[in-house]
Amino acid sequence: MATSGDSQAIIELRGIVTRFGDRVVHEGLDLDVQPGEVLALVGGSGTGKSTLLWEMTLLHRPSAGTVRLFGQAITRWDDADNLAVRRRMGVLFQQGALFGNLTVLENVAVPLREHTRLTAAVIKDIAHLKLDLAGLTPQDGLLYPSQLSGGMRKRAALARALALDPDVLFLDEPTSGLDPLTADDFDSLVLDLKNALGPTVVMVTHDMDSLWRITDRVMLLGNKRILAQGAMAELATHEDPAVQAFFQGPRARAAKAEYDKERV
Amino acid sequence: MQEANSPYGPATLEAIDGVIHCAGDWTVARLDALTPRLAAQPRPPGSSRVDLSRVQRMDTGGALLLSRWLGLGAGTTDDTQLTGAAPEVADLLTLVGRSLNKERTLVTPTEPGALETLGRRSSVVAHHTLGLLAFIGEIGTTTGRRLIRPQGFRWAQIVHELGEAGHKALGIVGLLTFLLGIVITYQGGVQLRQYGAGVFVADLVGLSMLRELAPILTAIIVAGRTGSAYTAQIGTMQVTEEVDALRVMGIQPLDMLVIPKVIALMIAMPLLTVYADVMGILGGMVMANLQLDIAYTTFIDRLSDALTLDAYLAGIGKAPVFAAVIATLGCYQGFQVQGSAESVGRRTTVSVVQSILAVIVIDAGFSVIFSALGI
Repeated sequence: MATSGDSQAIIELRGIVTRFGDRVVHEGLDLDVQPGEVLALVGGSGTGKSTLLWEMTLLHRPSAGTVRLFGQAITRWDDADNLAVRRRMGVLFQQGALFGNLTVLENVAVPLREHTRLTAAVIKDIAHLKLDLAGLTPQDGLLYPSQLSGGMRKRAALARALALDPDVLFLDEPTSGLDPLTADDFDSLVLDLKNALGPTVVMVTHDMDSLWRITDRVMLLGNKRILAQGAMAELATHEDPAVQAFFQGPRARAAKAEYDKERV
Repeated sequence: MQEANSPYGPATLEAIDGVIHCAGDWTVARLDALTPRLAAQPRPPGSSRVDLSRVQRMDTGGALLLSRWLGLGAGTTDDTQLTGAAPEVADLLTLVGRSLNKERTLVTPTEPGALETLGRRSSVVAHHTLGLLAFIGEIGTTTGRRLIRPQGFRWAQIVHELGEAGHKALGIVGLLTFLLGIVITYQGGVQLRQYGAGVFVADLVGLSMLRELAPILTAIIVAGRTGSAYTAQIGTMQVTEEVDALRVMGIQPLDMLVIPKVIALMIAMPLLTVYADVMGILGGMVMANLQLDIAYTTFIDRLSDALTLDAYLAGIGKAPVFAAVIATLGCYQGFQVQGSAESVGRRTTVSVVQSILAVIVIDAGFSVIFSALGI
C-alpha cells in the first residue's frame, strides 16, 4: 500500500498553509494519521478543523503544502482526478448530505452502483446489509431522507459512507444535533463498526463524551497550528494553559468523570 | 475500473472433491465475474468444508455473497466448516452471518389501484386549490387592514421589490419587445405590401402591441424572472426555518414577505407594459423604415390615426391583474416548500408553469369580455 519509502502513515500532511483572503487559518501544519487509529480533531471555532478535514478528503485545496493519501502524493485537485483514492474513503457529512430524491436504500446503493459492476439484486442485498450494520431496519430503507429523524439520518449517512468498505472514514461532527442518548448510541455504533470493519477513522467533534469513549488520539488545533496531541488521558493533564482551558472546562470534567465511572 | 489498483487476482470459487476453495480478492470491485457463475451453480450437497486460506482480501460485499451462496445464517443449522480464514475474514463472516440471522421482514407498500390513485390525486388537487384560495383570502384581509392604516405598509420593502421586479427587468423586457416589433413588421409588412397597403403595418404593430403582445410578453417574462425568484426566495427561507423565525418573532410572514411583493409587482407591471409598448412600436418603426421604406414621420402619423385610448387602456388594464396572479402564485408555491432543497426546485418549476398558464387563460377571458363590451 505504502509506495512512499519509509512512511507508514495512511494520511500525511506536510507544511499545510490555508488562507482565506487575508485570514490565515493554518500555517505550516504537519499531521500524520496512522492506519487503524481513531483520530479526533478538536479546537475552538475558526481554528480550521473542518477545513483540515476537507483538505484530507480532497474537497479543499490548501494554499501551500503537500497532502499524501495512502502513500500517494496528491498533485491534482480536480474532481476528475484521484478517483481511485476517493473510492477508498467514506465521508459522513454533518447534516448527512443524503440525496433528497432517493430513498435511504437507494442512497446507500449509489456508490455501489457507480463503482462496481454487480447486478442490481446483489447491490440491493449489500445495501440492506449496510443498513443493518448501521442499525436501520429494511423498512427504514424505504423512507426518504426528509422523513428521517436526526439520529436515523446520521445512521443512514453512515451506512452510505461505509458502502464501499472504505479504508478511511471521515466523520464531521457525528454527534452534533443529537440528544445525549442518541449520541451515545451513535458513538457505540461507530466503535462497533470500527472494530468490525477496521477502517481508520478521522473525526471532527466537540463532543467531550465521544472524545473519551472512542478516540485513540486527539489533536487540539489553535493558533494556526496543532497545540497539542495525544490520548485524552494525556491531554486532560497537559500543562499548557491553552490546552487546559479546553480540556478542563466544566463540560470536559463532567465527561471525564463519566468515563472514569464507566471504567471502574 | 479498479483492476489496475488491485494487487490481487479476481475472486474465484471452485468445488473440488467436496471441498470448496475460495481465492483472490473478494471485494465488491472484483466480484462481478463471480456473481453470475455462483447464481448458476448451487452449492454441491455434502461439501461441508470451505477453504478460505487463499482469500487475499474480503469486504462485506464478498462476505455477503459467500454467506448467501453457502446458505449461512439463513436459519439453517448446518455443519459448514470454514477453514484457513485470516482473522479479519473470519470476523467479517461472523458479522455478516449475525446480520443475516436477523429476521428481515419487509412490508413493501402495495401499488395503489387506478381508483385509489385517482382519489389521491384529486384530494391533492382539492387540497392545493383550497390552500390557494385561503392564501388569496389572507392576502386580501391583510392588505385590507393595511389600507385602513396605510402607515403600516412596509414602504422600504415595497421600493426595494419595485427595483428588483421593475427596474432590473427593463433590459430584458425592452430587448424582447423590440425584437418582437421587428418580427411582426417584417412578417406583416411583406404581406401588406402585396396589396399596396404597406403603410398599414403601423396599425398592425401598434394595435397588436398595445392590446395583446406587450402585456402578455411582459407577463411571461415577469413570471419566469420574478415569480420564480419569489418562490425560490420564500422556499429557501422555509427550508432554513427563517419563515418560522419570523412567526416566532411575532412578524407575519405574509406581511413581511408577500404583501410588499404583490403591491410592488402590481405597480411595476403596468409601467413595464407601457415601456414594452414603446419598445415594441419602436422596433416596428425601425424595421418599417429599413425594409418597407416608410419614413418615421409617416409611420407616426399613421400610428396616431390608428391607435385609440381604449386599445391602450385595455392593454395596461390587464397588467395589474397578471401581476397579482404571478406574485400570489409565486409566493404561495414558496410556502408549499417542504424539507429539502429539491423541493425548492420543484416548487419553482410549478410556480412558473402555473403562472404562465394562468396569464394566458386570463388573457383569453379578457378578450371574451372586451369583445362582449365592444371595446
